[in-house]
Amino acid sequence: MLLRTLLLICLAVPACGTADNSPPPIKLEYPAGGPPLNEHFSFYVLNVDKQDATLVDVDADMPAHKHGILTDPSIELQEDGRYRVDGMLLHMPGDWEIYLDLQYANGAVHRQTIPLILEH
Amino acid sequence: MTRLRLAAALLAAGACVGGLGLNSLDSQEPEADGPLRFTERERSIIQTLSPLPPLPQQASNRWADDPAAARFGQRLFYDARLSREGDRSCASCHSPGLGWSDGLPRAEGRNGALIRNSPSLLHSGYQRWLFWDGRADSLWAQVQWPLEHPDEMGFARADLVRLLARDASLRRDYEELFGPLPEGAADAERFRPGGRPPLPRPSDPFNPAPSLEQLAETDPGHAAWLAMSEADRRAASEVLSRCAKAIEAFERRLVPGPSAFDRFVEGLREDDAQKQGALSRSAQRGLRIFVGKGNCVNCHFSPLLSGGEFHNIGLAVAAGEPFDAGRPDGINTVRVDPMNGRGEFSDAQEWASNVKLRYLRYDEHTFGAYKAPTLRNAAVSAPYMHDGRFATLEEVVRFYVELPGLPPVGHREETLLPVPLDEGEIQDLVAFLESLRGTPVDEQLRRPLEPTEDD
Repeated sequence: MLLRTLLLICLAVPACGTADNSPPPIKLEYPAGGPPLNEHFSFYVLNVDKQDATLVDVDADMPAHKHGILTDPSIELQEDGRYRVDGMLLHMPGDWEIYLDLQYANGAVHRQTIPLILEH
Repeated sequence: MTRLRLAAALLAAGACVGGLGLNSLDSQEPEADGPLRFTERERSIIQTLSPLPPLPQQASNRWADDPAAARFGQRLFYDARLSREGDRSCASCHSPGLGWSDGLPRAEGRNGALIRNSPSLLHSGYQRWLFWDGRADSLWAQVQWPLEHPDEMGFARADLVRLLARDASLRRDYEELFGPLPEGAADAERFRPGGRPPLPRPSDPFNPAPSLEQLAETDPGHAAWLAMSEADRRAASEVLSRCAKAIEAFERRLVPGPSAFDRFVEGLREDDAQKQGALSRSAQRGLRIFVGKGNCVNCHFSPLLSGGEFHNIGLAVAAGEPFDAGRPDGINTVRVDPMNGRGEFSDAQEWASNVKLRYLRYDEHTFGAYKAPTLRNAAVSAPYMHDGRFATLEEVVRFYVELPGLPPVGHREETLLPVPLDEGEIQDLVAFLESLRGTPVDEQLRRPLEPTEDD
């Protein structure tokens, strides 16, 4: 299956500025070849700890379809600071948005949105 | 030959670039033969649709690919004794001569028409979920529903145990595969006539499921089940699960051979015009619509021509028909099914083998959604849709052209918009769908097994 993905892996975090000492942006590590179409997969979220934040939820939608994913992914903090997300299933080709809900030290939760085009 | 040269000259001159141009050429040269020239994007998508890969692993059934289990399953599949009145078998609603369905809009049960269409069993071994609402997570978990539903075969697992005990041939086949039948299998005092548990049903504070004791007051089959010992109930359920696994092993073999479309894709991949000729020009034009402006491939993708998940396409409910929520009921039911992949009768109960159950989400967006069926061999399993409302593939295509009505619950996929196709394009799309008809499954599978010499 030919998969071509457009990944936007660097996010502008509201709490972060653009100064040189700003924390590194959130990154996602997908499986080799990119997120698969209509197969359960796992991926990692990097640099959440560098933002002094906690990853509290992961979700995804197809905004144009007005529906989301059909699974409830789990989140697990790894010893190396990465978060492992299991149970993601993008069940259709098309334009998806991956949502990462980050909770900051002050308790506020900010949603990071990562667009992703999943092709056949 | 003259027409061919003209077409070749036009192509060489770059007169036609992209789908629009080629369609124009096609309309100017209606008698031209040879393959259409597909764009790189079209070719890329088309090649994801074929060939069909091997069957997926089925961890919850250790006999899924056991030939002896498949033979035993074939015997059970065609055996009408697995029904209350002895008048219907699995093949009654899944007839080999009717595309492994029944040719009816909605299945004819013991007490009249059921609420949904009987899906074809062809390619069922590839399905992630079974039933239009996906309330079973395997073919073997699916079997209990028609077998024991009082509106369908009306059979009971306690009767199944005693049938196996008294039929020497079935007993031999069963015990060679699965080991001895339960002690006292022939004893009607232990495996009571009609004894069966309630079908899986979710329970919540607003809609609690009745207890077995409550059900036993009005249903003799449940009363018989209640009167059985806990050990015998479990033994009967285990026997049913194993017979169901044998039926799954049989059903996994119901995979037709390659279709004209598969030969075409092979030719496309190899740049072999002769192989591409397996698909008529009309069907090729239909294929272009399928992967292009028709957007059919958004839900009917991959070699199965289905994602196997659930979509609300906005079919309006017919007057007088009962409310049918679709997928949400399936989600809640599969979770509590004792015969799901996590249940005690599964051969792989750990979460790692049941990812689809572990992460399954109850989602309001699935109201009114039904499983997108495979389009392979759809041409032989009319009528169509979950309620069999469309008699022909052409009617199905015309529905998508106009998208009339509104769904009774939930909302239609927002990107599902009317597809403006003219009459010729409708016929082209139908021709493509017809081209997905594979060669029939092995003739040996299409009839009951002849008794062996030992029988």
